[in-house]
Amino acid sequence: MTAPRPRLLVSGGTGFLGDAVAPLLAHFAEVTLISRDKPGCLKADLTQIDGGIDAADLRGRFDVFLHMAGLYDLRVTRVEAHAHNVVGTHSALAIAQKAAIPHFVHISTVAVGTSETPNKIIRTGELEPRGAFPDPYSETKAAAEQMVRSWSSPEFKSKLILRLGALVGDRREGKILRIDGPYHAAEGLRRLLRTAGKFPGPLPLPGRDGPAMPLVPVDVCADAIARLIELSWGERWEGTRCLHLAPSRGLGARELYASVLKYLGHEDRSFVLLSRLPDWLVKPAAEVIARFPREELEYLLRMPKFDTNETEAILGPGWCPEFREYERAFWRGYEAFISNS
Amino acid sequence: MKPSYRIANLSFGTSLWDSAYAFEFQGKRFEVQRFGADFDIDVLRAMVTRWRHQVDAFAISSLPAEIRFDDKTYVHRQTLEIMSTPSSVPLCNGTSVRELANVDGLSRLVNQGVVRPDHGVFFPNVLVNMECLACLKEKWRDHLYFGDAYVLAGIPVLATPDSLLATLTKAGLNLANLLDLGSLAPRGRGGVSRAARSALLSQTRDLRYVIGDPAMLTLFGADLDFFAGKDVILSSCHPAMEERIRRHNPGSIHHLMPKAFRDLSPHISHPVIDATLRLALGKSAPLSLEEWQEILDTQQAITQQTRRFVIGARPSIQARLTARARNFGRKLGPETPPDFAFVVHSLSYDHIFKAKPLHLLRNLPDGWHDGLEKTVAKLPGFVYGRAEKIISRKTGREVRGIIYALAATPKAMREAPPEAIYAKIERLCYDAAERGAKVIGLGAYTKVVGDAGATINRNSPIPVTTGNSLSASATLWAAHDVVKRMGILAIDPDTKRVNGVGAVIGATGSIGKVSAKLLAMVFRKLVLVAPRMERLEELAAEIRGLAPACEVTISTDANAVARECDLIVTATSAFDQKIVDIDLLKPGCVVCDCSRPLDFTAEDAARRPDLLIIESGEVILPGPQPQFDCDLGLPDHSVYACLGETALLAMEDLYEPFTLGREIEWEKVKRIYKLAIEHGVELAAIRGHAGIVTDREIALTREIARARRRAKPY
Repeated sequence: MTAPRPRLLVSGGTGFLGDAVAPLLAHFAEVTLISRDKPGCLKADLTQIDGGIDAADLRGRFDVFLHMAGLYDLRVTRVEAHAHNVVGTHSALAIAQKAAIPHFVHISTVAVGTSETPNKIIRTGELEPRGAFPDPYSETKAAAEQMVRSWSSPEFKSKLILRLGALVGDRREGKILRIDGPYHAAEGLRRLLRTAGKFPGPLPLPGRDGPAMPLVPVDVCADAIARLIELSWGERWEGTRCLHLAPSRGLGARELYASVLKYLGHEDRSFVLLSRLPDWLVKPAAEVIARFPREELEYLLRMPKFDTNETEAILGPGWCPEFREYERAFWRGYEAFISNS
Repeated sequence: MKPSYRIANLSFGTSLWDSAYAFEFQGKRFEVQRFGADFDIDVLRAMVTRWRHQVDAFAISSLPAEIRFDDKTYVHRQTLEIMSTPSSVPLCNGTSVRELANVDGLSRLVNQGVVRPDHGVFFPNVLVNMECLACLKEKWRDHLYFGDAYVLAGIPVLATPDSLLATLTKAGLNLANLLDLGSLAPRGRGGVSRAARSALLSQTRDLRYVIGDPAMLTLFGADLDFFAGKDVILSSCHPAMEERIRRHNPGSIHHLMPKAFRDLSPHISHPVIDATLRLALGKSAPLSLEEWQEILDTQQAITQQTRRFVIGARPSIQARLTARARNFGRKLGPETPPDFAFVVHSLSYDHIFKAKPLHLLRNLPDGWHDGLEKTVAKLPGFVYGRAEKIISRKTGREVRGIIYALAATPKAMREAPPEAIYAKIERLCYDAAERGAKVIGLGAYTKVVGDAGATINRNSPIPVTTGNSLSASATLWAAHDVVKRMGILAIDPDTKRVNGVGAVIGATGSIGKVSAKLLAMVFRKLVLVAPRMERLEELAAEIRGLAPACEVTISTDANAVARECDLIVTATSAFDQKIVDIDLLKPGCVVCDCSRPLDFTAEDAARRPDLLIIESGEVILPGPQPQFDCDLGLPDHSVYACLGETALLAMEDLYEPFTLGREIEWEKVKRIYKLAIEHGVELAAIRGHAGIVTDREIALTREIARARRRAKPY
């Protein structure tokens, strides 16, 4: 017996990731998007109590709540990050509970693991943050994920938590909406070459050999989310499950810099990683010399590893390409972004 | 459709325990959502500001409340700041509910022999459970141990109640006031060494009981197994937190939270109970301990025990310094213009010394009293204090007031030439206008002098009001409430009138006249008493026209009619004379004493326990905690109704001389009552000479009155 088409209520369906996910969901589900102002959507603001709507009116109308909304910005204040990420998730859960939506899918991030030391391997079990988080974004996303896990409601049959890697442009065009994460390396190196281009020795750059950035092209990520929701619906998953949507290896600092130099036409330029210097010295230096945003550097210096075995068992090995497989599209997208802005 | 209320339970603690639940209470539906602020005070404040128009009440939890320690009360500056965030709905922290419920619950467990404190009691964090400590301290001092040093600093030393510790704790509390609450919040102590943990474990091994709040205990529970085999006593409840505690195999779990509340929802907390009860009872102002006792139905002995603990505590040096610093800061910073101004004066000789510079004179020899009274009466008016955080329920806007005082007593005022008083008040009117106030109210005898405000209003740059319209309203509001609660008088089913006799003493005065008209609407028979017969006749004629169904009689002698009255409203300016002999009054009579100074004394009240004497006329202004930084001679948050009227005019942006002269207009009384309801001004808990008149007290009075009536029929 095949399951009927699920009815999905989707928050954050109009953002960078949402634009890629929503059309894929429509292939197998009836999709309703939540938005603050877009026409044709269910009007709600998740920073308000119950999203500012009477959720009981939605009772029995949906099967799955896909909560993608969040504030992805490493530089916002804790108050703002809390309002969007923690309260936003609370409202999503409260709406799901009051509207009796039995399946809840929460889009989390690998940033929830950044309170751990870089050499630790993060499993998909419950988070137990020990150290401090590098920024309010990761801290509030971790709090939101813990809330999803511990929220008790008889209405929920399943909770699926997907921890996403750092999103980059898609595999074909590499189209992006803003500069973040690895793209900052290109900006920084460009500046560095301009000022220290004549410097005879190898370029000293911040970074370590161990940590790698778990980059995921947005189309690959969207595809994985849609497939997992379809699968969980068809197979009637129950209980709480967490998966890492990240590549098995990720992009190391050395590989990133080599790629940036190649893109900038300085392929033959050598560099050295300042891996022996302490973080407290490297960060301000990189900030002053190359205007590397300190928040982003944290991720380059201390990103732990993520266990992706379970995801690969479900989606197949190689579901997430490594950086070199879409390197050209990556730089094409970056080029298009900076020439348009 | 059932009335439905929404409560936002904002916790300073972790968002991990966020939840949404609903329950029914007294036929009303309550929806509660718990939001954790993750130990960030700015996040908490932002939530109050963002949602104050979306909820009916806030329940603020996990914020360290008043810590009563060693007869002092310590309040963290950030707690104060959050609790006084401007909001048009009440902010409830459940302190009184918690204290009463914990003392009651723990005493029961001990009395029933379920808990035997001599087997050793461990308080992991006693600073948040001081009332439980107060409960056990006297008898079992040597069996109590505290883990606060471990919680706050990771030091694995168990403390016991001794004096050195008290000194250290006091110093610590003062220091803590300087720090951010977020940095003080005990979180999971992952970094504490294994040695420290096992040291604490070995010290707690022989103690049988653990008392604490589950939120605090779960912070411990991540690391420690000291629950194993112990009897855990929880001051509040939460199913998920209890589940965590159960994982560590406690011997048993006892709850201090009354079962009736746990049955509403397993997630319920003291602040949520506080908010629920206040919404259910329609009280936006904080309730007194007595009111809570009645509602929670705890035994009187428990209240007395709690009261000793609560009332005995004075503000600590830290709390006083914080208050000073705030005042000082206010003086340094640019002054926010007040919306209204109000003039008060000393109500008695002793009252003179409540004003700051004059309190130095309070120990003068008795023989000098008269001279001093006359001298200070000549002083010009001065700024006595400020009123803040008055928030209209209708507009959500905050109004501020400035309060001026004259040092003159009623006696001195009566003796001084009216023009001298006028000049002083007019000067204050100009000062208020310069500061930005848009209306000024006259308190007590400042409005009795001369033509009752009319001249002052003509010479003032801003409108003047006597506030008498709301005074009249509030009086009858209180009388109506009490008569209803007494339940002695019946309502005639045919005429729909109260089958009894109402009387107004001082009926021709401004408050008396309106009171008489209002009583004429509801009573079968009305007696009017005043010194001048011709005025009485005029009034009686007017009332007969207004309410033909009411039988009106008049008299110049109160004692002649005292025996037959069921309700007496006194509104005189009798200055030290007895207006009626209290021994003549009918048992069960309700006396509404609207005169200032009061017509009846505390001794009068004590002599006749079968009478209910209420001092009426006070109201509570809206806002979670309206603040007055001066002593108006009234308890808690209540203010004179005339001040209430002035504030109401500011809330409504109605800047006109609303009430002036000796006459109170019937229409205005009705209008101001309507405004009061709209903006959320409430009748203060009704007060008698001995404090709040509780339902229990009313029941007692009723019984005595019935007994006396049976013994000697009237």
